[in-house]
Amino acid sequence: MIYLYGLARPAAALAEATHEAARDLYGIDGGEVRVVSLAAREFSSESAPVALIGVVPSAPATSAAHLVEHDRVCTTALVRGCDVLPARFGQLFADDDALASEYLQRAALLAPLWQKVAHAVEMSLTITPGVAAPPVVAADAAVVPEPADETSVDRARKRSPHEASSTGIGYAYLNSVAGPIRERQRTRELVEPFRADLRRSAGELIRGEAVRSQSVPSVMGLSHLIDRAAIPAYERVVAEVAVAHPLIRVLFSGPSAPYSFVSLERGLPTSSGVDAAHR
Amino acid sequence: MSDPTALEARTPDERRLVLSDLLNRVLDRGLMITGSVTLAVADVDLVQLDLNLVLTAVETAIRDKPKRAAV
Repeated sequence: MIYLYGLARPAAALAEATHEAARDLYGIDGGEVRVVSLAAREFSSESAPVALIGVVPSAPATSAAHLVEHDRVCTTALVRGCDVLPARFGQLFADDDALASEYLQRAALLAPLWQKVAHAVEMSLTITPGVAAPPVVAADAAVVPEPADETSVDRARKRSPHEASSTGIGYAYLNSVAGPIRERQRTRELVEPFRADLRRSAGELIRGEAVRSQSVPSVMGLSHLIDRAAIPAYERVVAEVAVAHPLIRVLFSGPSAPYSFVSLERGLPTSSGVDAAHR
Repeated sequence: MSDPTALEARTPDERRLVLSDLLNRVLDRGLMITGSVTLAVADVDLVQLDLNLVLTAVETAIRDKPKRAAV
């Protein structure tokens, strides 16, 4: 079974010839990574992309180690100077011919993606509320504090029969549902001024931006498509802008292969250079 | 932020955040050449790292299925 790590070009940066093992490049469970030619009429033979593949007995388990190994193949190709279209984890093919056939069906659609990622890398910002950030407060918590000597019985007497009890099961359930939503919203509100400042200060360095899903409510991720040559300038500007926003904590990572910018399902860049579908 | 890209220089919490983000990207983003992705969930380490990663990937696979069929 053939496992796909990604597509890359030029092949010369990885191996002397196609259909051979990539130099010092190992994939899932330490397996050999092979470079397979994907000839298509959209490219000359020098610039034709290759597939980075491994041979696996079955679908690799979705473990953190395997995901890191998958990423390492794509990132290593990137570091060696290739343009890379990193594959999503878990794509299997019966053999080289099946992969080539699937690729050829999409070769024309991939041409704009190759243009988009040419000489580019993905830089990621992981943003969380800083220690100075105000705590999350429920929308209904902005009430007049109750007197210290007031008992729960006093409070129950004053409460309207239609008013929800803040100690009831229903309230607790609704609060557990609303809590993460509130936290996501609050994180977005804290990040948005930083994002706007960054766009003003580093706009010409950023070829594309993707906002990643907030699977953890208090963490927001931004990905930027940056020219390889612009990485030091980008890092410098991000650091300067981050200092001006003490309510958030900004963590860099990258450069990595541009996972966030190679989807065939999502829209192509708008005139502002930002993927509208990602915002 | 003296060495902003060095993962080793980060605190354990920061490393976890950055690693979690990387794994989310590998699972949830990236080029789809074939019409389907086979996700075999066997190890517990990923679940311990962030169960949401797997859930997000499965949600994405379901959401994108009709679109991929049309590609």
